[in-house]
Amino acid sequence: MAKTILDMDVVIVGAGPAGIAAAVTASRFGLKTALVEDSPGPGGQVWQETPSGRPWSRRWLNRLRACGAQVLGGTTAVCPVDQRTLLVETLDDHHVLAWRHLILATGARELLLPMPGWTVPGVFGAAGLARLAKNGWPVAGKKVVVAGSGPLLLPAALTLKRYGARIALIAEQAPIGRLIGFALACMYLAPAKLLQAWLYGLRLANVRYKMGCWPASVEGDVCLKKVSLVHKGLKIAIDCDILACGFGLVPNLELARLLGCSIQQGVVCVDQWQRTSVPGIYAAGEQTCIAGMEHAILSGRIAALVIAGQYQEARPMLGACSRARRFGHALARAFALRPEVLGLADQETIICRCEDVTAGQLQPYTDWRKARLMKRCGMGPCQGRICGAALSHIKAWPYPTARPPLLPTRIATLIEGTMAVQKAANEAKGDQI
Amino acid sequence: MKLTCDIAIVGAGIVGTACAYYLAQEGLKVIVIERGPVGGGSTGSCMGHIVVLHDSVPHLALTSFGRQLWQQISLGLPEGVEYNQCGTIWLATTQQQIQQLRSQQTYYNQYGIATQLLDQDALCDAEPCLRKGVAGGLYVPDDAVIYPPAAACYLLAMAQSNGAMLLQGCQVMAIGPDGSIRLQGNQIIYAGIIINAAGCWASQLDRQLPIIKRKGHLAVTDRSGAVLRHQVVEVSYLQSVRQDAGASVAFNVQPRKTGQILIGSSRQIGAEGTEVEMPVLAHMLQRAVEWMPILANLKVIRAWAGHRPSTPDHLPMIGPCPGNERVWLATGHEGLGLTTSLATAHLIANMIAGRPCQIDPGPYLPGRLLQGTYA
Amino acid sequence: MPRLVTVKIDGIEIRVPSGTSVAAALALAGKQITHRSVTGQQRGPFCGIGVCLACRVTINGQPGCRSCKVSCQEGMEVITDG
Repeated sequence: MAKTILDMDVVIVGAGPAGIAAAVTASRFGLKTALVEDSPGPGGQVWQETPSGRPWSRRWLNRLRACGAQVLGGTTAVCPVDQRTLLVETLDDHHVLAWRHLILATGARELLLPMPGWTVPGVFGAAGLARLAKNGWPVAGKKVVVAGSGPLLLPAALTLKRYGARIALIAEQAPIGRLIGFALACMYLAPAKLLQAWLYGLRLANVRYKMGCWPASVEGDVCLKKVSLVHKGLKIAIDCDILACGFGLVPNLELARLLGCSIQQGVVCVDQWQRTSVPGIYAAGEQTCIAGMEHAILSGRIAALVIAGQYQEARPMLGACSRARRFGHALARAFALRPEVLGLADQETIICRCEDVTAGQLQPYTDWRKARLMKRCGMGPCQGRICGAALSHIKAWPYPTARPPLLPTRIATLIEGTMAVQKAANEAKGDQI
Repeated sequence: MKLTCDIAIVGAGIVGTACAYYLAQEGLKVIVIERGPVGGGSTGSCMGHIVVLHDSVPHLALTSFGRQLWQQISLGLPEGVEYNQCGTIWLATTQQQIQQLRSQQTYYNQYGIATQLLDQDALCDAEPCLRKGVAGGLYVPDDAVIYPPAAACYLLAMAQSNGAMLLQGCQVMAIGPDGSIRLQGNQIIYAGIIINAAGCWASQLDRQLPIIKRKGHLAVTDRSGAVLRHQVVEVSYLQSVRQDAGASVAFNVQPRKTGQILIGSSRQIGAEGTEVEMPVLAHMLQRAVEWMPILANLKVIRAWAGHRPSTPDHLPMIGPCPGNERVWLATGHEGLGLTTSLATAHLIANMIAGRPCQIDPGPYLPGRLLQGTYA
Repeated sequence: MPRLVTVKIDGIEIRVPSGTSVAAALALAGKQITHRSVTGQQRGPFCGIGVCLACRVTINGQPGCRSCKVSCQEGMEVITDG
């Protein structure tokens, strides 16, 4: 029944680089900090510790272990109960976290775009499949086409290769010209990234890499058989087992939206101190700008320093943080999606995978509300996370309003969590009298 | 360009579209004006039950007539409307409530409404997931559930096939006693009769309308197999409906054709916004779990809130405004808009045509709540 | 050599390295299909990061769990509806 509430100075949602950096920093100043993470352990998409692989950055994870912050793994943010509490759920339990400061570090997810056949088992997100492989998904011996866009395709392919997959092709939709321009910009903005890309290149030396090439359709019935791609105006068909396909990243904005934080141009609005439009709520990392790990760490640290009142220490980081954001903007320009990849779906292609709503069925509708009302588009368990992101790119539909719960949540959690908050509020009232 | 028509309907919710459905059938030139999506107001956020309700004689008359009309068109409804004649079971826990169900049954019998009393065992067979020891129930087999926005869309499409026209994205700024409607951007439409079917927003067009919003919360589960077979409502739902102050909840669940369970219901007065209020939602869910413990472990995929257009005597306002035969009302249906939409439209069509109505329209005439002439 | 844990998938026991996700255990057990879509199509894990909810299964009696987000624990019982 109604359990006690965990009283925290700082609650951080998301234990990727931004969340970890924020937790480590906040704890340094004696702030009672909780770090909520949807995955079993901390690390996010980049730093996750895996059963068979090594962590990418042991240093930050060690600091996290040592810092005293409470790490709640396997814990999903459900919704705020009132203005200063967050309800969270685990596999078989739930908690209420009361916060004085909240840092949103929910990161980003891959943009997954509809194309004919993309619902066939064997089609995955690119970084998503790498993540699955790190957690034991058997890719060894599988023939994989890695496709889509963005700098994550290379490390994803590398991870898959390390776990024994045969990479048939890496297809990047961006044209070669734009990527060369980007590489030049990187020399100024982020030379380390260039080096990293070159190292990936070395390790993927015998893998085919095509620029200006994108997947067009998938064939297969119970499982995937063949992927068709377009390159230089020609169709290439590749027999394979898996298509690992992501078209860059989109920020996870659902929690920010539910909390009423202002969102503009697809990211959470923050000032230079990472403060959102809602007092007491900060945002850091990819949901404020898709700019990679350095930006995530810096912005997470800045948010925590501001909370601790350490503006002196934070101020010198502002320059690097804004440079990292500029790198993010250059990244977005270089890997901007070509119109062709936004128009892959045909009439029969399913757009909303939860409710099996096809492109043809959506054709009469001009906005989300109508599509939702009439066709249930985006009304399934993922609540439009996949089709919403896709349609915001394909049809430029703004995201629908967020409603609690953020993810499917046990009814018992909603009842007991809310009652716990009410009980505490009543007791507080009693104390005052 | 000057737009003229016989009938202009403000609002393309279930009531407005039902009016368009019947009036266009009569060969009248109908224009429906809607500022948002079709079925996007209360219609788009409500439960979608087609139930006979026995709160009062006029309620029973209107709901049973409405249900009968739905049944008549049910075979022609497209699949997307999800018409599902699952029946309603009213639940009683105390002997007093069993008595209440008995008198409800007698009452229904007089109106020719089929019912069946269920004892404890029969109830257990009918709904195995209900908590044990519920004293009994009254099964009303002809009640149904429906997916409301799709129903509104269907009715409108049928009206359009009979020549009705939809003006969508148009905000009505004012309606005049001379049958004029001023739209945003100052376009004027002249109508023989204006029907204000704007639901909760009807009083924005006519300040004297005594319509208040009653907020309600709903939650829907993930697809969860055959947990529920009928719409199930606790008898004290009626008390919740009548309660005029504060927030109240009552157990009301529906099986949707999708395999999901729709969980209601709550009623609040004086809550303007449609944001989900966790205390109300939790209270409502707890009530549901008390009746069906199995729900505790199911997952809610979405919760939302909406408003019901409510009148002081909980009956809709159907018919001409007193003192002005050109402005009619079809609003104030509270939680029964779906059930009574076709009946409302049928009454209006007959009154406009000067034909006798199948049920007495007297109890629903706006004159009972409005004095003086329409300004 | 990582520790092994035993999980039961649709009634059949399988041993996997500790830390393996339930989604991966399902694939190791030859079950790449986790559920049927609303129109009856076979579907398996897709996004890999807990967003698409395509990999939902029943774990220890809890329906609707994202198998990609849960690590296998000794004695876990998993049921798919594929």
